[in-house]
This record gives sequence, structure tokens and C-alpha cells, in this order.
Amino acid sequence: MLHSHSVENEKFGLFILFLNHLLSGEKKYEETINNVLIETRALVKGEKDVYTVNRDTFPIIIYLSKRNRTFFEGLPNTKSFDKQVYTDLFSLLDRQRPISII
Amino acid sequence: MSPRLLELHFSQLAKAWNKSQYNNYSDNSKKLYHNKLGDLYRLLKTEDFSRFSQQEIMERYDVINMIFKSLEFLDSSTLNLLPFEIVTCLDCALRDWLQGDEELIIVTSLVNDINNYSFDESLATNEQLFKYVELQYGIKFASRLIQINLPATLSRDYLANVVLYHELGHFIDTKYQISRAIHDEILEKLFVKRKITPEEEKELADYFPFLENYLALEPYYNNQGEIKVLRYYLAEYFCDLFASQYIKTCSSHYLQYLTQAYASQHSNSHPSTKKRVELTEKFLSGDDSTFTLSKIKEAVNKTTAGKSLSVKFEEKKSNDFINLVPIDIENDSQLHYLFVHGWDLWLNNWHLFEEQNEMKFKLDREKVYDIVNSLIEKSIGNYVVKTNWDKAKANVSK
Repeated sequence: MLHSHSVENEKFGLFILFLNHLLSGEKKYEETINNVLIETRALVKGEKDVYTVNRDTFPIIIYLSKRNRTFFEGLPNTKSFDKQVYTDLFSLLDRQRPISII
Repeated sequence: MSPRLLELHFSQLAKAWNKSQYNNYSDNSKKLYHNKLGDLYRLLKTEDFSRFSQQEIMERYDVINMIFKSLEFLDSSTLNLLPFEIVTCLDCALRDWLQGDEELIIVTSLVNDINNYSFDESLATNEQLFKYVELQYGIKFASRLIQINLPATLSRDYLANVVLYHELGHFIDTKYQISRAIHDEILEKLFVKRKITPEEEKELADYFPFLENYLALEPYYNNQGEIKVLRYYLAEYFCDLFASQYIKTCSSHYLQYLTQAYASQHSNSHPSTKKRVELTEKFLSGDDSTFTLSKIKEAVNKTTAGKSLSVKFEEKKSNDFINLVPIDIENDSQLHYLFVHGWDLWLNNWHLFEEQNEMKFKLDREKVYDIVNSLIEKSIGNYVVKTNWDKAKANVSK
């Protein structure tokens, strides 16, 4: 096999591309990014649990909630965020995710 | 990355599209999906890749792959190739698990690998990709493809193909993230809350042998946040239970045969067949005492907004197959039970064909194989004609 990747990787890849668009000022990608921020905040605050957070972006939400719980706990309870939040979010995603060997 | 590589990728797609563009399907939803692919292909064709940024190259890579993957399955799901009868049964089961007006199309790829029954999740559960296509090109796909691989030589084998219910289970599991959520809860229980009873600990070690010394995995969990093998095991157990809702223990017959040499062995992706069969039997007998089973049932309920794992087949007593006539099916629940009839005949009542029909010759196994498959196929076909006719009549009387 020349290479292997999962749909989960593809989801992360597309999400980062969406975030890049948003950071360049393309507002049409805002809703998708905001939904993940809102859901991750709800998870770390205990308003939702692993059974009730959004299913399609589930791997991203879980990853982010573990990556920096404090950051998401500190997010305002709002439907829109300022650019610094997106920049901080980018820094949480722009690195090698752990690979699972078991 | 040079745009030339994207040009290469698109040229490969152009070849594939030229071959597939006139595909003929048995239903309108596949045709509509195909037409949207055509719209997308034509828009890609007008783009000047040489001016693309790295980000645009990466995005188009995903879009071209999405068209490729769709065609791969649509090409095997045309009017002449689609194993229509088994897909009809899977579609009935699927409808039990949809929310609102979701449109999903089961497509199949016939592969040259005798044991390759598998679910490909690359299109069915990647909403962000479809969102990107919508935002970038203004093309909205009304439906999603559920891609199931099955061996080409067994595409009309209704005994072996019961395992496709298990594969459909993988789609349901991925859609609702059932096993992933249980995985997270179990690991949190073990390593964060540390609230596990000795009974639960014993059972976890029984169904997930790698958790026997789970404390040894704690540093790994703290670093990675997941233990993939636990997810895989939970998914396999769930899919077995999912299938058994419709086809009782039929899937176990085939699984036991395929894994007979190592039925008690577990691997890094699958629990032992012994434990899988055991859990399925507990489910079918209504024994909810195990932690694993009750956790899976609870997770299904929570993630699917109230749907439940429960027996969904209806036993219909019939001697029709023995008398060499298709069974007259009255509803979807009886439809799934056809496979139980077929397996029962194959495993236990082969001789009745000869006795009941006063045959003066001995039926050989290949003939019985053809008869059983033909009876199941015709029973499904008759049910489809009957339900379509009833629908048409109902529309006329409106």
C-alpha cells in the first residue's frame, strides 16, 4: 500500500482548510467553525456529553476538548467569536496529532 | 506542490468520467446524484489549476477523490450490476435508522476478493466535504452514498450475503459515533473517574482481553486520548447486534465457518468469534445482564434520539420453500426473516425438498444451493412488486 489515511484525517484536513479560509476573511466558512467551537465548549462545560455532541464533527470536538480544555471552558457563551479565537484554534490544530498504535 | 500533479489527477478523472457518464441506473435518486457529479466535473474542467494556491490544490484533491469514489461505486450499481434484491432488504433496514427526510443510497462495489465484505465510510459520513462543494461551487447533493463492498462471485448468494447487515451496521455506527462514544466513556471510567466495580472489571477483561491489565495502558491513554483497539471491538460487537436484529443468528453461521480455525482467538481489530457469537445470543435471548450489551443498547438510544436495538424480524412460519415456491411476504419484518428460512433450510432441512416433492432422484448440493438462492431472490422480488403495486394503487385512489 502506497499510503493510507482515514476519513477522520480527511475531516481534520478539511476543517483546517475551512479555518484558513475564515482567517483570510471568507465569512461563508464561519458557521462550520463556530459550530465546532460551540459544541466543544458545551462538552467541556458539561452541558453536553459524548453521546449528545454533534456526530459529524465528533472526532474534532473530542480532540479539541482534550487538547486544551481550559481554552474552551473560557470561551464566551455566544454564537460568534472574534478573530483571536480562530487564531488560537488554528494553533491547537496545526500540529501532528498523536497516532494510535494500540 | 506543483499544480501539474493536480492536472494529472484531473486527467485521470476525465478518463473515468468519459467511461461512466452514460451509466444507466434503476432509480431516480442515483441518477440525480450522478447528474450532480456531472455538474461538479464540468465546473472543475473550467478551472485554471496553474493559478491555484497550495490550499486550493489540497481542496481540489479532495473534490476529485470524492467524484472518483462516487463513480467507483455507482459504476457497480447500474441497472445490470446492482444486486437489487439484497440491497432492497438492506434499504428496508436502513430506513429504521434515518432521521427526518435524510436521503441515503446504498451502492455496492463488486470486488475480486472472496472474503471482502466491508463498508467504505469515505462518502457517507464526510459532511464537511459536501459542505465545501456547496460553498465553493454552489452544488448541493440531496443524498449521500453508503458504499458497501462485496465479493463479485457472491453477489447473488443470499446465504453468505447476510453479513451485509453487519456492514450496514458499520455505517450506522459511524453515522451516530456509537462505539466511539462508548470508548470514551469506558476510558474515562477507567482512568479519570476510576469508578469501576469488580464485576465490570471482570467483564471488560472477558470481552476486551487487552483491558485485563488496563492500568498498564494508562500512560498511553494519557498521551493519546484513545485506545483504537477498544473502538474496533465495540464497533464489531455493535454491528453483530445490529445484524442480529434483522437476521437472527444467520451472520454467525457464516462468521463461524470463516474463522473456524481461530474462533477463540482475538486480533488487534476483531474480538474472538466465540465472544461475538456469545454476545449476539445474549441479545437475542433478552439477557441484558452484561455490562457490554447494556452499554451498547444505552449508547444506541442516546446517540440516535431514541431509536433502539431490538429484535426487528418477524417469524413467519411457512413451508413454501420446502414446496419450492417463494414465501408470500407481508411486511419488512418478515422480509428479513427470509434469510433465517434460507439458512434453516440449508443447515437442517435439505432432505425435505426430496421428501415433500416426491423426487425420485437425489438433489446434489449445487442444485440445492441454486434452489435456496432462487427461492429467497424470488420472494424478495415478489414482495417488491407487491409493495410497489400497492403504492401505485394508493396513489391512484388519492
